[in-house]
Amino acid sequence: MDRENQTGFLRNEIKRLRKSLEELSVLNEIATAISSTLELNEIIDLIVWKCIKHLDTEQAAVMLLDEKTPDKPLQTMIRKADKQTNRFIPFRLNSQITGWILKNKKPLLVNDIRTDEKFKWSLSDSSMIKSVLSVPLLHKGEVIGIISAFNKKNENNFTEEDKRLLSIIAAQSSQTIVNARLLEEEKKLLQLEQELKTAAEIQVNILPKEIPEIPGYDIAAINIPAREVGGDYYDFIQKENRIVFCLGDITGKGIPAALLMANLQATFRSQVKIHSTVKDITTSCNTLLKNSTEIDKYATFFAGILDYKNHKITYCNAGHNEPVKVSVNGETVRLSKGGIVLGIMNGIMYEEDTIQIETGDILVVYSDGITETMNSQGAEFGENRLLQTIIDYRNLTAAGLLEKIIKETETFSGQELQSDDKTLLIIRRVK
Amino acid sequence: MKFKVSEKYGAVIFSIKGKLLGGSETNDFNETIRKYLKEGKKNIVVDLSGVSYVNSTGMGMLIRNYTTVANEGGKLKLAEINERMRGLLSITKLNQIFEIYDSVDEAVGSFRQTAEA
Repeated sequence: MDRENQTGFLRNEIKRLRKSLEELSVLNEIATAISSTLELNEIIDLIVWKCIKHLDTEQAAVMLLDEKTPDKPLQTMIRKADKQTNRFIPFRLNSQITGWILKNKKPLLVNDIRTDEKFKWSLSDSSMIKSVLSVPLLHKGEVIGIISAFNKKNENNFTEEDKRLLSIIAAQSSQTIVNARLLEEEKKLLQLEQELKTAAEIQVNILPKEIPEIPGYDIAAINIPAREVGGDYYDFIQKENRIVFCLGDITGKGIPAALLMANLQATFRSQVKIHSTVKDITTSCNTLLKNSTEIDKYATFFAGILDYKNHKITYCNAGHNEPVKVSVNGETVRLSKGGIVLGIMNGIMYEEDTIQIETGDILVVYSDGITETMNSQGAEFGENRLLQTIIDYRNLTAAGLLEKIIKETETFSGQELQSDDKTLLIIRRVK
Repeated sequence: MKFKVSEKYGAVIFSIKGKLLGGSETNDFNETIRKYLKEGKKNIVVDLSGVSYVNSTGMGMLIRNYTTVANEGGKLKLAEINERMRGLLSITKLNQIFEIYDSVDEAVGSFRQTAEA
């Protein structure tokens, strides 16, 4: 090699190294900036600005595939233009570029889109955009988005080096974007979890905090929702020399059921104030619930009024699992009088019945989450087991019997997860 | 759940198979019923012989369709319900609302009797 050639070679080498150094510093700059921010939008914003700066283009854009509806491509889009230009990418051009990249999963470099064979532009479409460099954002082989740069400045063309640089930026950005998305997803889930916790607290406060203490009577109640919140409701309301009590079960589970449960509670409490008989209370709860719920949502509901001076319970059963009264000698009476479930039909006139409560009698009101407790073989705890438990342990206190029934259902279900809300209300006359 | 539709003596029979759990899987069922109502076919029989399980939201779906049909001046009747479902209809007292028949033929026949009467 002569001296002149050597100088030329060295010059080229220096140029190449300088270019590499530049690329490295660009990447370093992006990496540093990205790692200092975690918000998805900020990250994308930053990538777009760095592309404009380092590729020396008029515009750049990052578009992300919507994760939830991947068939509707590229919903998220952040586009920035250099201050001196404010040109927009025509929609049709944009969709053709994305279509091409989604199909080919490789970079697209077009320096004169008017003459490019891949696209059939009409002149008006392409009037503002001359050159395009687009690179897919790939994660595990799938396109998660696209980075595009439009119009190299000073009428320059995009080069293979530009393509290489943008590809490296894309590779680095993909992982960061995926991470940021995961983080956002996690934040949303955490927020949802917090909301659920709050909802559960609200619901606990809707249920009575204290069980009424009545001379001669022993009362206990419990509600164990299957999820954070549930659709079962029970209540006790003191009214003169009486205790109005109820137990209801809303169709479904979770938040939708919990919302209706709150509605039922407010409705019931207001109607107890207005009406004096349990059939009138139930009749108006039905009308009000019917008017404020979807046609396929209903509540099974049992309400009773305990007259503890005269030892009588007047009750109305709106399609709820029949409560059982067990007397000292083990005799059982089921409480079925009433009408259909609440909330599906207007104009129902509910009926009521009155039963006498003797010393030692126990009334057990329960939701189907008790009897429908399932074991791993898919068998149900069932009415018979419940009845037998009540009869066998009828001498326990209300709280003792309640605990026993819950334990029995838990033993029965074993490892099987609780699938429905369990609620129990027990009233026992002690003297 | 899955369902098949057939017609007999002017009644439309919906034969349901599987678990009746309500929710979004019933949309198709609801829409098919509406389609027949639009055609003026308002005698509906729901054959539940193939239903292995029903919960309260599944009942909700039957109630919804019962109401839809009734609002159009028609009637939705149930046929061949299993023990569990009979129990559920009895507890909820929805057996006061739904007409229940032991066989699909009886349910179909009941429409003819009403028409002749």
